[in-house]
Amino acid sequence: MIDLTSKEPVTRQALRINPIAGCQPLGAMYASLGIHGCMPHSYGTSGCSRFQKTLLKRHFRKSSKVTTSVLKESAAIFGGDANLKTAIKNIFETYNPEIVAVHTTCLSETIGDDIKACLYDFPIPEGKYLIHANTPSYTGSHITGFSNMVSSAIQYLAQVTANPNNKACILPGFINPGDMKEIKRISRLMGVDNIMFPDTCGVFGQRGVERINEYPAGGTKVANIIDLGNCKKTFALGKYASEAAAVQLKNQCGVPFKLMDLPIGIEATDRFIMELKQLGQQDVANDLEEEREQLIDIILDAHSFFYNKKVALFGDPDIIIALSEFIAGIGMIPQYAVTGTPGAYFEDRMQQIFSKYDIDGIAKSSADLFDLQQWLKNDPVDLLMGDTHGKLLARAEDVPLVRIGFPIMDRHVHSYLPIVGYRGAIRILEMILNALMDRFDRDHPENDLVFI
Amino acid sequence: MVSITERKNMANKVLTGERAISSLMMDMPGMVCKHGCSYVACRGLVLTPISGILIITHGPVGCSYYSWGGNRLRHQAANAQHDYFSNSFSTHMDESDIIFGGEKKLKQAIKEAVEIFRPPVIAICSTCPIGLIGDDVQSIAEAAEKEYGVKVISFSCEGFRSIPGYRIANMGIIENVIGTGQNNVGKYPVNIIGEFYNGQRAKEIARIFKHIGYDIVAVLMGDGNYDDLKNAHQAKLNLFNSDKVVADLVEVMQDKFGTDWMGFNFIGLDNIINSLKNMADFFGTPELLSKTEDLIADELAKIQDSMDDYKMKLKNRIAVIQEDEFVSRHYQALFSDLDVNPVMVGNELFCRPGQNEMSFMSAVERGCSTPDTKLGVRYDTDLEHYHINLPVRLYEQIKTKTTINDTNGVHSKMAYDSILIPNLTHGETEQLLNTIQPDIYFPGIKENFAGVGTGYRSCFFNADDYRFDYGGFRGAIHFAQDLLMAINMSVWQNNVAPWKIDQ
Repeated sequence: MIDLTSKEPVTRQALRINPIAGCQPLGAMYASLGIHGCMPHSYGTSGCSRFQKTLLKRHFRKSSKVTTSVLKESAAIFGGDANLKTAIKNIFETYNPEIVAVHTTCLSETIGDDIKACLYDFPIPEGKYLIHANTPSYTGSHITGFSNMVSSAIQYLAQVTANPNNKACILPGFINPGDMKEIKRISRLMGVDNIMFPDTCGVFGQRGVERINEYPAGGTKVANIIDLGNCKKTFALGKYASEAAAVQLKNQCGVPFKLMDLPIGIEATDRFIMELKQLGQQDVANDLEEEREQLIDIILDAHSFFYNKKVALFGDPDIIIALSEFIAGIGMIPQYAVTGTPGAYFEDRMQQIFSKYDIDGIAKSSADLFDLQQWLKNDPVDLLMGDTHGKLLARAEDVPLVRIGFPIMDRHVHSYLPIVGYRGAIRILEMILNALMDRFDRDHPENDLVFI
Repeated sequence: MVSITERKNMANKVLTGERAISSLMMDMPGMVCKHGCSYVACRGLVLTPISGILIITHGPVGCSYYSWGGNRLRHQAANAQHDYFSNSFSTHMDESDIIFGGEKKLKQAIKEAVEIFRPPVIAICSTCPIGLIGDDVQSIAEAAEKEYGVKVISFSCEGFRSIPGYRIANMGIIENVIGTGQNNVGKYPVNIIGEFYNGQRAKEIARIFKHIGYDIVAVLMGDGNYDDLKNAHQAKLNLFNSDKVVADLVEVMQDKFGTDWMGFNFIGLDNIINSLKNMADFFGTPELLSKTEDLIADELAKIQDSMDDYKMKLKNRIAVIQEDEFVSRHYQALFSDLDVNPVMVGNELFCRPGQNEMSFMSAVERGCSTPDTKLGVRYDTDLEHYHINLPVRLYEQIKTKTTINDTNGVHSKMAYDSILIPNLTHGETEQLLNTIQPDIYFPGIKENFAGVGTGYRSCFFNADDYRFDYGGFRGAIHFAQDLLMAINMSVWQNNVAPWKIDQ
């Protein structure tokens, strides 16, 4: 029973109860799947890749191909180099990918294998690529792993040539394919030609025959990743997931970058569009103007239903920051914001938002759902926003839950639809309003129910 | 129209001589495989379903995050105060713990768990780094047990270990838990061992057993609880239904407590009837035999009409099932109940007759010669709890009649036809489907073959998804409903866009 959580606050130093974040290899695997024709390789035991693949499969409802080095006792004692080399040889022979992205796990990191040395001058087929990222599970979270894999890919591949491509590089962070598609659409409407990396559109949702050596049509092509070095500017969306890669690209190829929040909600999307406007030297498209007007209109219409409602948010830091800003801006109160990913920036940024809207909220990084539940027991909220793991919390505390973030394992369709941009904001509003109004109907007697 | 046998021969012609049988494909580095690790099985398969145990994952946070919850939400807690199923506990090791050792953190975590939750028993599951940095989990567990008066069991199930995790967990339970309780048991006490005793199926089995008069003492790997497990040694018969490796577990229990075991399967009418009759024969009282006969007759009469109806609708359909070591055998049994012709297509590795993961793992172990003393251990007889159920002469007599200590007794009917191909690839599967032209295709639970054969109606049952239930007497009817639903789903008519159809 989740309701075993006590009301009296307890201090914990060691025990982590109901975590909010996974470990680095999960993010690294998702980032690798965003490369076209890429075979992610988990350099660890078979269990690691199974766990992470299963989680991705439950979220996207589609399985993906991931290989593993199957490290056993002998590898733990003598090192896993032999397994890794055999694995890479087997992968190229059997699955014929364009690129293999190796990420490490806590096992291989604790053994201390030097992958770079191991793979240095390892023969790979002509025209193929091999990259790796160090993703020890015992630091950071899946967002850190995502960031590490994206930076590594840029470090391995991006190059400056004499031909600038006049494009923008968009680093979207750990978001759904539906969101990536929406960001690309906004960018296109603003006349900014772009390369998005990683890009998981068409990687998960695709039906069709996938032979053993075939890969989904989606994903950022390796040629485009190499071409990132020639971009005009980088938009790094979300500090946790994208900043490291943007810095890497700047140091390596001199591409200037702009670090922004994820474009969730009105203000963040406005800022994103202003940046695009500046780069594309083009007026804002009519479609976008219309969507913004619709959004403002909806907020005005429905204002009374969500105004001053208290919300508890949990999930990945970049999403929670942007989401908090959005809901605070429309008159809701983001009372608690927690994330499992460590890092002081989250709390600082949240304090900025709290002080801007004069909210007496609590933000905590490297937290868990047990913390949140104890707070809820002492000072309840009207709405929970977070991933599927909040389901039990929602039932125990009898608070409606809006499912947003990663992983959402008990609902369909969500990964196809955006939460970014003005249309995404409209969708978030719909979810919030539905949850609150259903709750209103549930809590009121029959003669209080109205059709309007 | 070509008969199925001819089709099969054609298929074999397409495929013969193309590949040599390679050795253990699953264990080859760099292959797409969905195999778990020792931790996955130890925690997920055995420990998670036992209510009343607070499991602390000792290691980085990832493993506890991924194994949180899982697929067995149906289980009923005996005591809600000690049901930790909805929570996930870990020591959340960070870099400094990896460098300086995690013992201090583990001690602190146990202290906090005891203070906050006051559980009757704590299990500690170690993950990969623990085996490398060498934390002495065992002695910490012993010290904590003395200090807090709470039972603390440690499981050394680091992910890289070759020993299957369920064996580690089961042996831990046999050594530490079974035999510590003294509850009274009924006249015909049985244990159920197997991961299929959960959800609706568990309710159905419990209903039938209660009706006949069996007393379910304890359940391992299914919906069980800790308090019952303490008394498991008092059962006279272990009913063993698992596609996993626990065959050695039941043998260990026989060595230690003298509990006999028999195979048991609750999917497919033949299997159910055989299982029930075998059980009645084992105890051998006329009362049980007649009750069993009555129950079988009753239940069969109840489903007769629906079965006839569905049989007519599904007659002579052809299904292709991708064989895997888990659930495909069950579908096979259900299909034969419905007169559907199943063609099993499989990777040679998984489906040599009679081979399950057990023999596979022992092959791995022999081949890899992983040194571990625990594997060869035979347990000494526990004289305090040992009991003999039958006079030896009678035992021999029954043994010839039914099948005690053997799974073969309840194997399902032979498949209509089986095609076994070493290292089956996606392309070959497609060729096969083109040749056989099935009415429905089951890609199996391994997902590797899920995308193959878009032209064919397919039905994807996930091993993780226990929302369906095909066990018990009504199982075949549920299955027939779902099968018809899959075959008649309207999406198949719109599968291809009109502009893509050749004029």
